[in-house]
Amino acid sequence: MSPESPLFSPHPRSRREFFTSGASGLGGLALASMLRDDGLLAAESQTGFKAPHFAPKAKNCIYFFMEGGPSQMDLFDPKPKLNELDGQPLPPSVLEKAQFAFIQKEEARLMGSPRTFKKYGQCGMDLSDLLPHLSTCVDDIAFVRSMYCDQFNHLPGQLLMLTGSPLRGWPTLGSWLNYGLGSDSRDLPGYVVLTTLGRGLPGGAASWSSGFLPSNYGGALFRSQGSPVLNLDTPDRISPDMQRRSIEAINDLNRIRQQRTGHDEITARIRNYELAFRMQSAAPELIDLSGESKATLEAYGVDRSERDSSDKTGFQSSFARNCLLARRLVERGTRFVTLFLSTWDQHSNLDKELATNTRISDQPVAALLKDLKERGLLDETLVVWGGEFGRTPLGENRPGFKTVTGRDHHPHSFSLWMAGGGIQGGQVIGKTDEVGWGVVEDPIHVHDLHATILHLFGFDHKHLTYRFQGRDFRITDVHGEVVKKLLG
Amino acid sequence: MRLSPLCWSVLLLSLFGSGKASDHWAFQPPVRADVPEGKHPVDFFIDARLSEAGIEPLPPADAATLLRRLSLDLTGLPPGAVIGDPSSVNGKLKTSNTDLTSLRSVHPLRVFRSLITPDDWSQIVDQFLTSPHFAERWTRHWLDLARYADSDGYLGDTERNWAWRYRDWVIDAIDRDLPYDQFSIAQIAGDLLPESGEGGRIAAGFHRNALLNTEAGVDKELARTKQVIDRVNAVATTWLGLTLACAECHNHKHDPLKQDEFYQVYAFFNNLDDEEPLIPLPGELERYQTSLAAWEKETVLLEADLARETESLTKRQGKWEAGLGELPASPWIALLPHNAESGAGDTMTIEKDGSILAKAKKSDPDTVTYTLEFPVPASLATLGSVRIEALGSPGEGREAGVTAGRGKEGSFVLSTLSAQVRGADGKLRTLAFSDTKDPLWKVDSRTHRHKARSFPLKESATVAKGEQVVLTMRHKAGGATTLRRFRISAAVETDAVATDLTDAVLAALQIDPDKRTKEQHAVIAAHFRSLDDPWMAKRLELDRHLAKIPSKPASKIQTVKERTAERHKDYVHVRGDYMRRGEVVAAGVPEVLHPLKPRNATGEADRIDFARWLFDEANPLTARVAVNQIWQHLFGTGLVATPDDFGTEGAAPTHPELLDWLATEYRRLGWSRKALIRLIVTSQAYQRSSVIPADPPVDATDNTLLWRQNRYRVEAETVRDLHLAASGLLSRKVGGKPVRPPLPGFVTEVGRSVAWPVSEGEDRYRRGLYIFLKRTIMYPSLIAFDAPGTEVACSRRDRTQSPMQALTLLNDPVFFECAEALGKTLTNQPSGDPDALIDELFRRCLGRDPEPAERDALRSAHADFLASGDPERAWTATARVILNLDEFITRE
Repeated sequence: MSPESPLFSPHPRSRREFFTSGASGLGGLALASMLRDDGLLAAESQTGFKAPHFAPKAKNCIYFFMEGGPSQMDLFDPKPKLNELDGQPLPPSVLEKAQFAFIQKEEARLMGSPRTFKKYGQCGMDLSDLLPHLSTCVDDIAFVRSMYCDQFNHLPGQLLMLTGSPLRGWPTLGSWLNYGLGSDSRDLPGYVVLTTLGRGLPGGAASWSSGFLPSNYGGALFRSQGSPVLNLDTPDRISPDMQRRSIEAINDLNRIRQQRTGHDEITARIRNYELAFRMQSAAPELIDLSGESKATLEAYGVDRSERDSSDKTGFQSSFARNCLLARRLVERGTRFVTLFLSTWDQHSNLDKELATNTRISDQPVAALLKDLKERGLLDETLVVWGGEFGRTPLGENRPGFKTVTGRDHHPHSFSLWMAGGGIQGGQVIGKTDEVGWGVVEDPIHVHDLHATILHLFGFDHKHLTYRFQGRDFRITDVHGEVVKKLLG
Repeated sequence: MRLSPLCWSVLLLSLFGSGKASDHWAFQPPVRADVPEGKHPVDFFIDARLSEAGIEPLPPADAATLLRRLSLDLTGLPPGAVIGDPSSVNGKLKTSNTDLTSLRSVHPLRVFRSLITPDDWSQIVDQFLTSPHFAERWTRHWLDLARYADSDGYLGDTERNWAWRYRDWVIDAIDRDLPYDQFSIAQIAGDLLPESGEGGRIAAGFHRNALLNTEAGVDKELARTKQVIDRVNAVATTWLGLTLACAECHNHKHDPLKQDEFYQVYAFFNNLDDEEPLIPLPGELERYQTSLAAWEKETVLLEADLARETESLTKRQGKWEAGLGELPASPWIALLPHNAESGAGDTMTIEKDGSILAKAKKSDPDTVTYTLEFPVPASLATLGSVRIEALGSPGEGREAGVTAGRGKEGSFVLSTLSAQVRGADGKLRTLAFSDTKDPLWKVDSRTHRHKARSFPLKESATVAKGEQVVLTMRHKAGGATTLRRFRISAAVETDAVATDLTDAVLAALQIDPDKRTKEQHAVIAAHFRSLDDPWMAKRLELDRHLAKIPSKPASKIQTVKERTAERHKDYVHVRGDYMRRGEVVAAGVPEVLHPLKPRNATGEADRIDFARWLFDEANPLTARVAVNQIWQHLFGTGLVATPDDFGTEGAAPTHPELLDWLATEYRRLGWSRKALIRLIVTSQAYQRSSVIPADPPVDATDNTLLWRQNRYRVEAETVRDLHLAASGLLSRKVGGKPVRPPLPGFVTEVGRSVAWPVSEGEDRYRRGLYIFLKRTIMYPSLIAFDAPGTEVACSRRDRTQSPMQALTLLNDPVFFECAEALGKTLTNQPSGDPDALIDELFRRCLGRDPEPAERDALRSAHADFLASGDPERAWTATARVILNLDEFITRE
């Protein structure tokens, strides 16, 4: 998509501020589209982006990656029968085939949920009492209760969800979309990552890697405060005037060399220095929230204290800030924003830690949905919320655990929700069995999710491919079916 | 694994249609065409295509460009850094340059201002080929294929402390030009070849570079399977230029390789176990033996010293014994604990003599409490006093002594002591000690000897057999000041005296000296020695020396070994799912290629056979793939543009006859990498200008026929090396442990395993090759310039452009430090003439003189920077401009 695409233009005012430099502008990190437009890409690397195969519904994506595996039966998928069977073993037919990461299966017992569920919205959807804010948005949201995958462990599960493969080395969804569509931002990267981390991510930077795609499709890790991007700050001893003069001199000399050698790559480098210079002001502007109204800051909860008084951990303010930055990024044309919140891996102390996580995230996530909607951005912004797998209806009795207070990893069924960007809201898709073990209706594999997301962006997942090691790779490998029910 | 409709269609299609694959060009043996006498073979083939197309190739590049091109291609460093390198060999160039080394930078181009004669060129090429930096440069290329990294990848991302031994093996092998067949066979099967020795085992570390998933609860067999697949793929990509992975799950329509054939190759790699044997570094064993000998010599001296002191003891012992006078019998009854616990989790061992040895955990909590329980002995009717013996002992022979306390110099601080009696009914009665001060007992030093103290109760308490004495000892001064070894005893009276004589010594002393046994004499003598200060001083001196015994060589390697017992079975994994066992297969090679000749008469083949099969005269791929890799590093693109795919889907060679000729030549040259490179870089094709003329003979971007040289950005590591070399900061150290340049916390903290101890001193400025490759925290400036991810074999790097690259070169502290170093050098030049300094800057960084327009542009920028008033800052900014130029990080 070229920057002049009619599909773009959520916010004319802010766009003007950012695109003053007009025709000389280049895209963000994922800038291959513009290089191609300008004929600047070396033919040897197949970086030419693909035009969408059909009219896209979504333009941007905000992906809430809830690292660790949120417990679906305590949040989205009420199981009265499970509460009733609390303390009983799993039916033998299920138990026989069951595989766990840590649970000792013979002694394992079902564990009910202490949460209370109520129906919300016009659609009458059940949500847990841990999600008071999200419950006010249900009519815009499609809840999927029938996700499943085949990975028991965090990193393979996360890589599968992020890249379509449990192995390292594959591109993440954000990279694929930037590869396919290019970026609409001239001053900011097309793929930005915001993290709220306790003990770090299992995959580290692999969680936003471009894999075998060229590295300019990789995500850029942003900090929400201080200097937002690595190496964005000019060294102390170089004044802003010197920096401007330096780039001028660099580009003057590069231009002379371009004339002498006739190579267009130098022109691309000149433009990259211009863009780098613009990023140096655009990125700090991005994280400067002084222009946001008090009402907005309050709605997101940016003003909340970082830690709840009763809690040792807590990222109440920083996560809220990241949510607000996500909106500001898509406003400015960033194609893909991933927000990591770590960790939802509650093998023990589930009730308390789940409440901590939702206290951090429920309000800002709901505020973001409403904010996007009010600004008319929700229609073209796909919001996805989910982890890499779910949690067992069984309590976890790992050796060494004195009491059973948590749940183990569960790939056989889990929940996830999506909103905006062409998603039909106000519906629940799929059904799990009465104890929440397996999927009994509308099973949706991770590959199907990816196929559907690409569909929303105008791509047939089978044809967005990249040739690597003698093979055309795609995010769905040889799988994936678009989930029609999700589409509006 | 799910079976999608697409899979099925591929599977069905594959039943037909693959018949023609054996006709594919890459599976035919290379044919060596004749090259006319006197013609350079590379030029013969390239010129033929050019004249056929009617294209006039460009003339040679100018001397400066040529020299920089060759230097970057062969060593990854600017020419000045190599030619000025004292470790270089070529005498002629060095002497001719000695007078040109102003500013420490050398500009050999001055020698070649005019034309470079073929003789000159040949000499320069030799100089670069013999530089150790050549080996570093070409090792980096090889490590891309070997998917080398210093950590496991995946969740734990455990560091591989010895992975670099493999890297150093590659450097050494390339430096001494180990023939490519031997170089390769060692990496594929070196562990099985006894004649290749330790080197072969280190080389087999190629297989250890595979990612490793150690996440808790992982399916271990699945993880192992994925490793084997990666090993097959890495070998296939590196030596065959084929992607076998496609056949992992099913047959493919166009692929010549069938699924069962994939698992035949898989079988060669299905039984590799990790191994980390101790293999000393070069010289490590010798260094150990030398220092051990020195230590031994000193030990013997100190032992002799001590022996002399021991001899002189006898007299002093007699005096001491005489002075002891009448000794009362010991009132103490030993309490033998049946339970000893530490609140800090220390390991409490109860010895035979009833003493207790506390072995502390590493953590030292604020307060450490010991709780001890003793059954009341039959002879104890009332409890009047408790004695604690702190049991230190001097060293004996070559065993160092033990101090009674864990504090500094063996000190300990016992804060409080309390006692209770548990009656037969289980009820506790608390007893009161008369001394309640806190700390109760503090000993600062000399705890190598026996110390004892009596703690009387306020009044004696009646106790009975069947009851338990419970003692609680508190150490509040911190875990590091607890008692290490001690013994408890009790006395009936409240006025029992504790002396520093143990009961055993006391008992021995009470016997007439003539009637004492040998053991009794020994007990007394040992006790006296511990009291004798001059002797103890000598003994402690010896103890201190004993502690300094040199540690044995502990350097390891990370490699693999072939499993002999309980071998994994070889079978087809149906649809790539290891749990679905298909037909059993034997190790073998694809039918489309030449047959394997196993050494074993039974026909069973192993990895050695496979490795040798790769270098069989009949192998059509290995040599082509190898020369294509080398070509790619000298022209930017291979003769086959898809170095990882010589299969039917890959690119066709642009110059098939040249590729074949080079393939046969490589073998003829005895697989000498240096000889092949020498051959290529002495061609006119290599030396052509890369400048696109105003009226190019064809579409300027189409250089398939090589009418000019290619011009492209250098690799990530070279971007760093060029900066370090230009600034004078570069460390020339070759090999050794990987280094960690500084990184901001927010980069390292995204992973689970975040330790990034920054390297100090020279190690901050090592070449990019030596940066620690931690898979979850790949060094950002390497990634920004397209360094590979190390997950799988990488045969061709991307060359992208991004604003992040600009930000990195402008602002990254490492690159700015280079600009500052260079700025400082310029500021300190005596000449001070800006024009001259700018010329110097150009030569130093770009290896050429500036054009007038360039000089003016930089001069004007410098003048503006100088307006800030600080000359050093202005020169730093000026240097920073040059270091950010496209040309600086480009090989032209």
